[in-house]
Amino acid sequence: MADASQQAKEWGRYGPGPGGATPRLMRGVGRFVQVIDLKAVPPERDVGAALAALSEEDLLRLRAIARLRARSLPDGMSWSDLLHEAVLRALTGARPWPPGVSLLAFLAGVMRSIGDEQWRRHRRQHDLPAPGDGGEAHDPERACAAAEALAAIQQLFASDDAALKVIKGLINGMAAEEIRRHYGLTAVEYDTTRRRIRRTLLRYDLAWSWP
Amino acid sequence: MTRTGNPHSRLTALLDALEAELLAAPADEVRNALREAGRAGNVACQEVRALLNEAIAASEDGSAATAWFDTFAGTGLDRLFGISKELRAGARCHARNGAILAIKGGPAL
Repeated sequence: MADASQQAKEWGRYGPGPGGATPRLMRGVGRFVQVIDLKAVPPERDVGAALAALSEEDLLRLRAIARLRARSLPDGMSWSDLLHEAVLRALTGARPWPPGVSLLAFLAGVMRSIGDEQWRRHRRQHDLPAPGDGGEAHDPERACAAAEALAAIQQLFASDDAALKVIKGLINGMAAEEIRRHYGLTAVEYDTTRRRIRRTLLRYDLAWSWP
Repeated sequence: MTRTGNPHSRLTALLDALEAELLAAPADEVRNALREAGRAGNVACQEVRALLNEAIAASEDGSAATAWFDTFAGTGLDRLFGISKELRAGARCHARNGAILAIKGGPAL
């Protein structure tokens, strides 16, 4: 059975009711009209309007995230393919935008899952065996692509020792405090290093062409 | 916790962390990066905007066509029918232009 928001999409929304009363949803024709109180229905989120309202800063973030996520994808899927597909899924409702999640975080999540899907599709298309008990992590081709991507990202920060330390810490799944302690960084050094990393990711890819 | 896993899980950890950094980057920091990039920054934003507009147009005009392809893509039937990635990409463009799609090696729809 479709949930309330899906019903709202299929039947169309009418509201607010007479006198500015509670918004209602009406289904059917003539006397066979069903009226549903929309108080309980979470407001539908208009992905198209939200996309159109994205600022230039958000567009730059989105581009940087798409470029990062596309770095290790098979079959030459580019960052623009990845972002286009994610946006399309969001727009068509194939991937519903959950309440309480920012549009950018939502699209980033969709791109992440498209990446996994792309690897599964790649294995199917090339008749490669599914990874064993270790799951995706034990796919040798994917591991190789990941190693290349890791090297490329580290190369980005080759001239920044502190950034490399933070990147290595993140690769090893360390928390901020652990990274600082492990590499002997002060809180200020750690924060300024993170800022340089963000700046590099946002800016550097404008001049540096990712394959 | 220190991760000693393979490159895939290490990359996942890094990408998740960098993505979180980009999402949380203060707006003025991003604005500065954009300003420093000059014309390249403007071009980059226009490129993403154009991509979003293309996706919006595709979803409005051809959602049925792309949804059809996406449905089969997840089942392995796309491989059976020989639907290539290029065709799927083409479907996006053709759908926007209102063209009728044909499956490679199969009857025209």
